[in-house]
Amino acid sequence: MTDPAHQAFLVEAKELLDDMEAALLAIEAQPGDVESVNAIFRAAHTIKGSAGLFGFDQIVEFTHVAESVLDKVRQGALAIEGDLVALLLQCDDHIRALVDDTVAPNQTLAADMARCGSVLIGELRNYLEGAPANPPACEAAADRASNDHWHISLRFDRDVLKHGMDPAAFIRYLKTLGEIVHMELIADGLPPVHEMDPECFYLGLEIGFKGDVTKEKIAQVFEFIRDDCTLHILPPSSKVADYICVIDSLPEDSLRLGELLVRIGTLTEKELEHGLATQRAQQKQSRTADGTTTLRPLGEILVEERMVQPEVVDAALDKQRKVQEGTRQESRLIRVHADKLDNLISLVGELVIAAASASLLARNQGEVTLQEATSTVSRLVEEIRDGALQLRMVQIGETFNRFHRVVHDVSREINKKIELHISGAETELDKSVVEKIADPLMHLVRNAMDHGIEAPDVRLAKGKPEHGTLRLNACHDSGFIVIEVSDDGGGLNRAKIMKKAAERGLVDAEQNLSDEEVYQLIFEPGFSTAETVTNLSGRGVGMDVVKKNITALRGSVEVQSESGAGTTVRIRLPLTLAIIDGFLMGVGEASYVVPLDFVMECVELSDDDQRAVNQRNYINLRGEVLPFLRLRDVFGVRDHRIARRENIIVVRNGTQKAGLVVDSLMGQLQTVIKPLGRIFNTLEGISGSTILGSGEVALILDVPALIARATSIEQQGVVAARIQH
Amino acid sequence: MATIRWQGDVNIYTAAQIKQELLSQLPDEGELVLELDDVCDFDSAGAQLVVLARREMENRGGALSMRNISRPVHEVLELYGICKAEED
Repeated sequence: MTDPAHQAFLVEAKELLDDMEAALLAIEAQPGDVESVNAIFRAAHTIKGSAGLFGFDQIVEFTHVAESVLDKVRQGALAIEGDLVALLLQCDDHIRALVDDTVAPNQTLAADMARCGSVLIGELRNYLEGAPANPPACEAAADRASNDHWHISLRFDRDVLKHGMDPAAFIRYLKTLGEIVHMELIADGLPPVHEMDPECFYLGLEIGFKGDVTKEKIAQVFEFIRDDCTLHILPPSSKVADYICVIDSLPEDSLRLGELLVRIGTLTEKELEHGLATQRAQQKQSRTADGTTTLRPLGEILVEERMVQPEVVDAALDKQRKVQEGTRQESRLIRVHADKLDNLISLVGELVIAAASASLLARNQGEVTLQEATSTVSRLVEEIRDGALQLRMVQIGETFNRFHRVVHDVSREINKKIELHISGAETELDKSVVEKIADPLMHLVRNAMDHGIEAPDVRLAKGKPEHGTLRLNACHDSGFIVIEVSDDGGGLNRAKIMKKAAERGLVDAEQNLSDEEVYQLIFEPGFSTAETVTNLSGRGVGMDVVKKNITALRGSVEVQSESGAGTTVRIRLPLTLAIIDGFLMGVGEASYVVPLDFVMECVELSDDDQRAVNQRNYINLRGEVLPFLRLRDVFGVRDHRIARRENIIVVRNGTQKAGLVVDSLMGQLQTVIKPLGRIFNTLEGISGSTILGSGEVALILDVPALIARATSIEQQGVVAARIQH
Repeated sequence: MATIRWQGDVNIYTAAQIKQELLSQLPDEGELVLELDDVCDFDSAGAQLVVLARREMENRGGALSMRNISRPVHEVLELYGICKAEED
């Protein structure tokens, strides 16, 4: 598979591309934000550099063009606006694809990617046109060389190879930035054959180079080898005097070097002659003026070099600082493989059961000190359990933030103006829940954008602001996490939904349903009142899948809507799927567990209530009608014992309440949920099983399903009673 | 005419040894042919050795030619302009 270095490249590239995307979205909102522009540029530049080290030339070439455009933006020569941001976001995606491709190069996709890449590059180049790489010389033509290429002079330190650098690699990289029009290899420094150390490097290079670059860019090519070489870079059409200076500073004979430069095309014979003559004249002058030799041109070029270097130095310092910051942050976090975490949780689960078993045995034994010991163990196990589960908690903000890009792209696509507001991003939930909730959320968001929020002109006509607002909110509510997707659009059309539902035979047209019950109908399979089907939604395959996914997570979803004002979809999910706190109940010889989050209260049935239980299916709980289910009847528990006082557990799911009538209440317990096998999938009312301390199996109740059942039975009873009258 | 065959790696790790061998095999005159088709790794140290060999041969009034330049060798030599793209 991929080696560690490649792996590190992939991880770094992904983070950089995420940064770039976030910065691009931020900068569209605030075009003047310099920090974002720099962040985008840095990201592209770093990716290019890293890719270059690995020889991923395709990535280097593509990123280079993007970087050039970003450089123009950075210099203020190009303004950031919607279209450019969209293009750059597409480039971000393309680079992502290229990076992924490095893992397993896919030949069939290669042609598509190349095509996509060239289209993007074409569009990028449109932004690049019109900017000259260098300002035109305003001095007399005679003073400037007439070449049109950069001149790069390289002399390497003897030990460059021993330091692990290979000059060939840097030349290779240089070639990706442009074209080497001519190169001269200088072997003057090669000692006689017997003295020559083959592990030292004595060769020098004079290069004529053409490319869409700046001096800094060329310098950056040689960044890593700077300490091991002497580098001179002369822009095209530099002053002849500058070339002469460089020639002077190099070890080889001036005339010989001059001839070399002529051969490369950097200078013409005439320019060389003229330049050398001028310099000699200047030197003579300075010597006679005050008898002492003035600062030689060599000094001048060094000073000039020093003036050039600050930019390169700054870049180096910046990089150092970033590396330091990076390591500081990294040391606070550890990357853990998800499987290891799951294993740990699994073991903790077993530990919980084993500890419960030990506690039970200790209780039966009656030995006090043993009971104390097992009690301590149980407490510690509980703490470990909580700690382990905490490890799996991630902030939902990460998922929410992905929607910035989605809202941005989709609102452009459907020509609506939509803003996304996120709150409660720090709300934590279980890792596995986060993964599974992403798709349903995506669908709800797209739905809200497509069908909820109106087009800008419609909104204005209604007196609403042109910008539609989409809100994502998350918060905790007693063991659950509540996620809301709300929009300030047109709201749901109750009449339309009822009509459609009646058509499909889901409801009776005359049935008196509450608003909420009507809105719940949109989760029925195949239901859609959308007049136009877009490629996002409207086909009616979405909402029922959303509900199914949420139910699979043992959650529930409700819809609130106000015509003309907007819609809110509220999802409730349990905080963890693995271990629950539950309430143990007995019905006959069987045991059942209710997740504690659903339990409101436990009541012993009074004589009156007991009678009511035998006749009706609701009781009067402090003036409130409480529908109930007798678990004995629901689950067909056979028990020969004569009826005695029963108990009722009041459970709640959101706003609905119901009672569960059982024989005995056996107290709280914490336990590991063991999923039932697939053949039990059709079992209604049961969501899992667990092993008690005694080794017995207890079934975990699916409270939402039972409440729904109790409520509908009660309603049927009411309808029946109404009919009788 | 003498022929020297370079095989396997001709890089910083093998440069010392290859230079030794080169020194002992350099003819006093005429043409030196370097057979390079079996070279699989070639870096700047290798390129330098080629430059060295060429200079030595020219000093002796002879010449250096390279035959069957393998791809890795060609890539580096082309980078340094020691051989053009069209040469053998």
